[in-house]
Amino acid sequence: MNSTPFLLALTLGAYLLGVWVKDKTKTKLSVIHPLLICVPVIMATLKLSGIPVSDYLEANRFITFFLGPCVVSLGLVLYDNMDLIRRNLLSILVAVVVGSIVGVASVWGLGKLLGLGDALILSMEPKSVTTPIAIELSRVNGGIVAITAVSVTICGMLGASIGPAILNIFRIKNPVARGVAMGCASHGIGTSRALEESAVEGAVSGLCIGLMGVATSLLMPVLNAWLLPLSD
Amino acid sequence: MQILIGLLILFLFLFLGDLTSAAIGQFIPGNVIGMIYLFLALCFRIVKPQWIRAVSDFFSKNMVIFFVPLFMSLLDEWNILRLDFWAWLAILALTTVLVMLSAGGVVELASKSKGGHGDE
Repeated sequence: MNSTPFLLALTLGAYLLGVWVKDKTKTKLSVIHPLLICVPVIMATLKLSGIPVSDYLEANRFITFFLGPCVVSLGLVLYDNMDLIRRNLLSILVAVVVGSIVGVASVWGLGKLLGLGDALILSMEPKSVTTPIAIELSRVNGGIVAITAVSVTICGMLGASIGPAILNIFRIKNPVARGVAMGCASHGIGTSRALEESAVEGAVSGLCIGLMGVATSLLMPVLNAWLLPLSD
Repeated sequence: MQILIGLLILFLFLFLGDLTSAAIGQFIPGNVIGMIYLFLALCFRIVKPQWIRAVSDFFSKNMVIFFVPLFMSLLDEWNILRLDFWAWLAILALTTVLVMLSAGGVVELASKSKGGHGDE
């Protein structure tokens, strides 16, 4: 059972099942995410068959490897949105830097307030960044990669489902502003929701996935060097 | 062919990004640097968009599958998370709203202050 082809097929099969269920249940909120089906199916299969998680991870290194090229290909998304960037350059850049600082600092502040350990706080800090970048940031800065991956996904699903309603309450109406809000807070999952509202909103949101990745990569180590010693 | 050319370019840029990252002490992940290099190469017309379009579309449409295996290592890390589960969830919810409002608010205010058009 713990042969590489079987474990690779398990990943692909469970994921496709998740996509199929998502397509079948036509929900307006798009909170049904393929991962909600796929992850429990694989976990259950591993538990029931007694395959060690380490065997599964080893067999699936091939799949995880492709996260690197995935991130690099976002360079094309940035390029495709050049016009939009040029026209709103300053405000988008300021917004992304502010969003990135608020994201890291608020996790740190609330984490300390509730008495969480440093490893857990570091794992949560990159939660608004797209998963492949976030896990690298977590790894490089001393977080726990698996917790980061789940945290990022939860923030994505949360923002995608309640984000538009919250933006309405706070009267954020400008499509560029809404796109920035969705992309900065909820990366790819937020972007798919933003695309349902308008093309401009979706494009800006997609752009912010890349920008948030760059901004947080630069700011997270700096903020941590300054914040972490404060806690002692 | 299209796919192979695209993969070749992505691997090369990832390689360059990793080299740079190692040179600066892994301060920024190599994949992020690779992304910036690719963006610059596209801007300076060193790489043509159509060379990577097919692969790039495939990756952005199916990105989720590539981090599925990472979730499984949560089975090993569950003990760390279990103790602080509710605090963890509350922080994620609250900070997501904070990031959304602060980032969106900046652009909203900027657009109002210049009278509603999107130009500089």
